[in-house]
Amino acid sequence: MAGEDAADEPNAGLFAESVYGELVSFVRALRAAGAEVPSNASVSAAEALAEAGVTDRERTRAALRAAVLTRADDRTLFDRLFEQFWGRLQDAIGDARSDDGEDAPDDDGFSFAADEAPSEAEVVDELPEESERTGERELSLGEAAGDASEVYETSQYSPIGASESVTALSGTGEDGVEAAVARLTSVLATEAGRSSERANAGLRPDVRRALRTSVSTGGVLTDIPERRQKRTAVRGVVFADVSRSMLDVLDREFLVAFLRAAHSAWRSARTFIFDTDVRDVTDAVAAPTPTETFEALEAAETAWGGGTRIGHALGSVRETNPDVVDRRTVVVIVSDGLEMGDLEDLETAMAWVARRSPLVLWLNPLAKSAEYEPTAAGMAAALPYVDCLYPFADIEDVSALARDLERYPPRNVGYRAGAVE
Amino acid sequence: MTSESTRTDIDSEAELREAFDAADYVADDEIVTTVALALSLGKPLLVEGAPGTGKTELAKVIAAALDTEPIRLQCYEGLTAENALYEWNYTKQLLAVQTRSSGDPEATANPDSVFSEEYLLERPLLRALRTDDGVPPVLLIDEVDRADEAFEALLLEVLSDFQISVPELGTVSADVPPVVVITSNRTRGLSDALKRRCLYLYIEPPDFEKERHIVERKVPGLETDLARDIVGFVQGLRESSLRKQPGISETLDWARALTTLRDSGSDLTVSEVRETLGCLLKEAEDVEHVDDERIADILEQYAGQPTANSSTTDPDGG
Repeated sequence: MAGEDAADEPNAGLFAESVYGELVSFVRALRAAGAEVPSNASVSAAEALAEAGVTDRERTRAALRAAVLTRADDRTLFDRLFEQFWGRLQDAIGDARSDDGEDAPDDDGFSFAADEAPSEAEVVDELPEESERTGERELSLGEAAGDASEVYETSQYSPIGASESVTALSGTGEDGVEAAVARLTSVLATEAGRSSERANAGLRPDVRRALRTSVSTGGVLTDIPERRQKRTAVRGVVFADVSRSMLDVLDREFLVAFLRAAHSAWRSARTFIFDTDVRDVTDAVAAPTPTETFEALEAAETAWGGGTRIGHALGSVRETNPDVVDRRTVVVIVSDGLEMGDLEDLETAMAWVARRSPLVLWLNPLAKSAEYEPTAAGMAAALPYVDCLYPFADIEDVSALARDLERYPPRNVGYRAGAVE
Repeated sequence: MTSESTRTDIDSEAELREAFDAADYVADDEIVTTVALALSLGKPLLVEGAPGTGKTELAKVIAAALDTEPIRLQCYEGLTAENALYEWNYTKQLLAVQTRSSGDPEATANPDSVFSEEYLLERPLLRALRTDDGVPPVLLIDEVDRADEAFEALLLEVLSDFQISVPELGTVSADVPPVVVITSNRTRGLSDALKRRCLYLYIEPPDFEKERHIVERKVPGLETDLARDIVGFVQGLRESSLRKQPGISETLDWARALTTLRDSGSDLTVSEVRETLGCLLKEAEDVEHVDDERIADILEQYAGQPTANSSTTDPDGG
C-alpha cells in the first residue's frame, strides 16, 4: 500500500534524517502534552509514514493517528499538533530535496518501493533524539491549550457556608468501621479473587471432584464438575461530598474512617472529595494512620465546607481521569444531593457513570430519616441513574447496607427509584 | 511482532473501498486508510468506539473483502486459555482410558495416545493459526475489554509470534499469520503492551449525514423523508442523558420496524415513536426518562432537519 507513485521509482529514497527528526519531535510533543503514546510510537509512525507517504495530508494524518494514538481522547490534541508537524515536515522534505539536488526523485522520496517491506529498505540505523529544528520552534499547543488546573474551578460563593481548611483531628473510632466495610466489601465484589469455588458452570474442570465422584459410579465418569474464581475483590471509586451542608450533618471522623477502610479493604480504590472543587485524596486516604490522613489533607491545603456542585465534580473527573470509572468499578457517591450547580451537568455526569459502572451506590445522610423523600432537585435528577440509595450517618448504616445487599439485589435495597413523583 | 508486507489480494486503498462499498459498509477515508495500513504492515488493528458503531461489522467486511474466513473469538469476563486456545476433550479421554483399562479388544487395538488430534478441541485462536489454503483468515477478537488482564497477557504471547505451544503435540505456527482485528467498547483501559502492538482506529458515532447514508443503504425501500426523520430523531435522542445510548444498529432496527408498521407518506408521530421506542432504548429508566413530552420536543427540534452538530447541511433541506 505504498504511495501510488513509488512503484515507478526503483530507487525510492531513504528517509532523510531531518524527516525522522520531525517525526520524533512530533511524537515527543504529543507525549509531553499528555497523550498516551506508546514507547515504540516513533518506529510505528515511521513505518506508517513509509506506507502512506507524505504527499497527501489527510492520508498521512490518518496513518500517523493509527500508528501513534491509543485512545480516542487524544485525537483533538493530535490534530492540533499535527498541523504544526505537517508544516515542519514539508519544510524538511523540501530541504532534503534541495540537498539531493537534480537527482532527487520526483515523488515524495520517502516511500519504499511497493514490493519492499520497510525492514528490507535501507533506513537509518537509529532515529535521532530530536529534530535539529527543536531550538527554532518547539511544537506546542499554544495559548489556546489552557491550563489543566483550570478544570477545577474554585468558586468563592457558597450559599450554605464558606470553605475551611481541613485540620488534623484525632482520627479515632475506626475499629467498627473497618469491620462494617469488610462485610460490605464481600457483597460489592466485582472482581475475581485468588480462591476458587465450586460452580455449576465454571471455568475449569474440577478434576479432584470428578475423580472422587467417579468412585461412587465404579470409576465411570458421568459428569465433569467445574470450578470458578470467587468474586472477592472490589475495584471502586468514592466521590465524597464535603460541602457545608454535608459537614453539618455528618461526622467528619466517621467519613474519613469510611474512606480509609474502603481504601484498605478494596483491591483498588480511588477517592475524590468535592464541594465546589474536586480533589483526588487517594494518597492522603492511604496514609498509615488516621492522624496522618488528616495531616496530609491539611498539608495539601485541602478545603471543605463550601457549596455543592456534584455534576461539576463528576464531570471534571470524567474529563481528566475517564478510566477511573470502568465496567469493573463500583461507584460510591456520598452526598446529600443538594446540588447547587447545573442539573443538566449532573444528569449528564450520572448517565456517564451509570453507563460504565456495574453498580452505583448513593449514600445519603439525609436518608436516615424515616420521612425522607429524595425530592431535592439534585437527588431527584440523579436518582434514575442510581442502583441503591441508602442512609449513611454512622457505622450501623454501613452494616445494615451490607446485610441488606447480602439478601437482596441493590435495586430492592434502601430507597427505591420510581417512588419520586 | 511479525511485520510483513501485503499478504492479501488487496493492493490499494481504492480496491479496499470498492470492497467496502460492495458490502454496503459506509467507511470514511480514515477507516479505509487505517485498514489498508494494517494489511500492509501486518499489524493487528485495534478498533475502539461506542457500542453499535460498526466495529464488529468492519471485521466481517474485511473478511468478505479478502474472500476469507472470519474467525470470531467473543471475549467475556473469565475467558481463559481453554476457551480461547484449545482444550482437551476430558470426557472422551477419560472414557478412552477407562475403556482400554477394561481390556476391550477394540479399544486396546487403538494405540493412539489420548493426547492426540482426535481428542483436541480447537478454539478460535488455534483455528486461526491453522489454515490449509494459504489464505490468512480474519481473526476477530471481539470486545477484548470484557476479558481481564490475564487474557490480554495470553493474547500478547499469541500475537507476538503467531504460534501456540501445545505441550503434548508440539508448537503450532501459522504459515500465514491471520489478519487480526481487535474490538473494544472502552469499558476499561487496555494494557499498554497490547496497544503498542496494534494500529489504532477509533470509530466515532456518525454524524447526521453519515448515519442517514448508512440507513438508506441498509434499509432498502425506506422513504427519503422518513430516513431523515428517523436519523434526526435518533441524533436528538443521543443528546439526552441516557443509561444506554442508541447505536447505529438500534437506528437500523427502528428504521426496519417503522417501514413495516406504518403507512407511507405521513409524518412521524409521537405515538408511533412511543410504540416503537423499544427498538432504540434498552433500559427501563431510559424509557421512563423519554416521555411523550420529550419525544415531541425532539421531533420538533431534530426530525426533518440536520442536528446542530452535523458537519454538513442536509441536501434535502428542511
